[in-house]
Amino acid sequence: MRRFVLRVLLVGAVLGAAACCAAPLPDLQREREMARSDQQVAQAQHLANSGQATKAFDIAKAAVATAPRNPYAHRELAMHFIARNDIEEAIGELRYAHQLAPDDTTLAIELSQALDTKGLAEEASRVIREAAEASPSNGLALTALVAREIRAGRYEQALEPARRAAKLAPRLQAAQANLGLACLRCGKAGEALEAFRLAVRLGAPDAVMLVCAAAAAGRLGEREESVRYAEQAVQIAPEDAEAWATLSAALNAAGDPAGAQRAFARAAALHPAAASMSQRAEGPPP
Amino acid sequence: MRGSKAGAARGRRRHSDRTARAAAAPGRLDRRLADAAVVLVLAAIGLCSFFADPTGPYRWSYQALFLCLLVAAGARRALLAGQATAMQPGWAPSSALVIPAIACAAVLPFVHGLTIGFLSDDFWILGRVREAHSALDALALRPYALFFRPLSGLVWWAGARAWGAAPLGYHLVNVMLHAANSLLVYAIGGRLLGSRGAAALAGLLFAVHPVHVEPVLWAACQPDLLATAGSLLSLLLLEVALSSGSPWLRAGLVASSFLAFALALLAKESALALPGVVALRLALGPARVGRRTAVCLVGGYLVLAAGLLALRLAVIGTMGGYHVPLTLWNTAFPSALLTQLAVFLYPLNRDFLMGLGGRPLLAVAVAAMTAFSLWSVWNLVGVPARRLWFYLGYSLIMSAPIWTFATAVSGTLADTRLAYLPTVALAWLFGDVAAAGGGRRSRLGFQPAAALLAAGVLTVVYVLPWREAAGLADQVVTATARLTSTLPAGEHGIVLFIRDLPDNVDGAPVFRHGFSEALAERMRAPVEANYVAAKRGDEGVPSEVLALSSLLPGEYEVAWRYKDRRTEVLRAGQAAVSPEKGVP
Repeated sequence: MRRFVLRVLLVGAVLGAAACCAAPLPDLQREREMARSDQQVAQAQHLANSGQATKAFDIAKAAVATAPRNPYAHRELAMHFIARNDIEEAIGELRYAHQLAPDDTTLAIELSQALDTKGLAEEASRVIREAAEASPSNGLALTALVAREIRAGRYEQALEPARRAAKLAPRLQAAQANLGLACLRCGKAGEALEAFRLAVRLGAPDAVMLVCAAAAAGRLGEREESVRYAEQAVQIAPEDAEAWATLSAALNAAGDPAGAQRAFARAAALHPAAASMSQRAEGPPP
Repeated sequence: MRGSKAGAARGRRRHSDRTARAAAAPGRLDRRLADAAVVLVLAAIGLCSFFADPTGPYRWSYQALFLCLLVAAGARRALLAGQATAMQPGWAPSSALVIPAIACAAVLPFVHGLTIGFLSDDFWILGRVREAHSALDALALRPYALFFRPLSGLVWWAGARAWGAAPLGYHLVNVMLHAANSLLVYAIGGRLLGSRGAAALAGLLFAVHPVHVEPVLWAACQPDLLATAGSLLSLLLLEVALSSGSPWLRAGLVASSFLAFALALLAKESALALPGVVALRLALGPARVGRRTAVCLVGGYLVLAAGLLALRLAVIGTMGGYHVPLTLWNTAFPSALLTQLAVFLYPLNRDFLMGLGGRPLLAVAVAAMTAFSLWSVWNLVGVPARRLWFYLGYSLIMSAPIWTFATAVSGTLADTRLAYLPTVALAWLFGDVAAAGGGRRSRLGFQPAAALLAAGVLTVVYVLPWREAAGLADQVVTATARLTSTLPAGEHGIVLFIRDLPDNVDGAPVFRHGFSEALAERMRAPVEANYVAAKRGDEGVPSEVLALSSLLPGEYEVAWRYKDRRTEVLRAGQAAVSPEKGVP
């Protein structure tokens, strides 16, 4: 009996070892496919960057075929569809990628952007809101949510998330700029100007940011600062009528009617309705 | 007539002895089955060593393989027990030869690791103890914040007073402690194993085994070395006391043993399991004592352990430590024992071996380890059962205070400091196995010597990634200090975001705690550095992250998004820290 038990134990040990050895094999096969697919994604990106779009597209499709559950292969394919202006296909791929990697905020943001482009604003909002709720400490997701709210004209709703995003990602220019814009539209010019100041310092500002910063500074009576921002805005975007109109208003407030007149004339030449533009940054939502 | 009757009786007795021996002796089939089972299980382990990451999702399957090995080796031993031969006195080298040999083996492989500098928690501990003005201050500061380890804090404080921020002194202390521990393993082994040759092999194996690279080379692991020294010294004094004839001498030795245990407890809480080991030793060891004496001795150790727990509760306010949820698989049995066996028999840093020589080198390492394991299982038949139970019991009991051990120890040999004290028994086991191989000089010499040599070489090799990691730590700290120094004077509260820096490069934890302290030390000003550590993946650490040292001044935010398998480097905020503009 003892010998029989020992024999059973020996055979059991061998069978157990075989089972333990074989258990990881399916996962390892999947891993290998994912690694191969990742390589193809990298190759597709490289080809796309070097202008070989058709070949890159084929390789992106091959990456999806190699590992159908690789979210980043689907994402890569979606980017190629977007480049080909096939938004519907891109949304399909991004939806699946998002489903495969629901924790990835970047994928959620990209899906939301694609949905927005297609005019599916409600779904875009839902996707980004879910991403922001799933990772409440992710400043990037919150910033994307704020951008959507601002674009939809919901400044009051955008204000609190904008504050949190700016706190979570204090060095993210978009987070500070969004906070500035939300504050400006909610009548909190002081907070808006602080946020714009930080946003301008964090990287190369765009004209819209500078125009809004100039408006906030103007409202607070910071005339010199307002003129400085408006001048920077017209330097960056000399064809932007709104920037010229803002400069005109700032110069006028700073006691330079001649300069204001010149700027206004430039704005009027660029856009006939320039007279009302200087008020736009402070006015009702577009 | 009487003579013929007696002759017939003798004949019957001889016949019945032969029958009994035949019944007890294993058949050829059993022997073949047992050998084949062990070979197949070892082949499966060897195969899995190529692809199954002991840290990854297949950890359970890798550990279960060692359970299969234990079962197969145990069944083989039980089946072939009738064939075991009594152990010969065998090889008995002189202590005058063995002691210097073990000391050299414990020191020499680590000599070129003495210059690796500080890593990870070292910065934090050093920063804390340097705030202390006296030894009492050092005790109050508790540099190991989650724990109560006053003796370790005191040794760090003394080190800070003696050699300041020069890392060499701290590393020297660790290497010397390791040499002392290896000698203690030899000294206790000499009394437990009954063979000086086996004890010498155990000491040598403990000295050069690669699983001990982390505790020896990482200065912050000094508590593990101190606790091991205290625990082993306590055991040795107890062994001497048990064999002592004079009652006064015995009482003095027992009191010294208690003192050594108390010091071990004050160095690190992993020594808490020693009373269990003492109980096991008294039950299974060579020199037996009466039940009453045994209860008194174990009671003494238990009182000391309870005293430490009470003191810890009073000082910290809670029990402290890491709060790791206990599950069936991460408790001491069976996972901790199996992990110990895995890292002891197969201490393979696969990433590093693959990087160094590719698959052929890994294959050579796996083959060497498989041969060593096979030889060990073969000779297991000659090891007395009592001692086997003692080794297994010691490994299990000593793993009890380190619940996280089973999940923490990895194939990259990170966190193996937790195995330093428990694997002492495995060193004894393999020393014993070597002696049980027949005891004849010719059989004892080659295989363990080759295995020891291989382990020693591996130890030396393992030092290299640690040096690389330390170099990387220094580069990152220097680079970060350089770019942070571009900020205007008087500007404080700058938060530096370095996301997803590697925490583990070939087994060396680089950044966890202490990054801010290291920066502050370099900058001579407070800097708050936030970062999120990343896990090392199969594609390695992106060069962009490693190239942090070459960042231009003003680039202060680096992000590596590992999760999506794409590398993305964010370099926002140039304007904020550029030397031209500064922070307004």
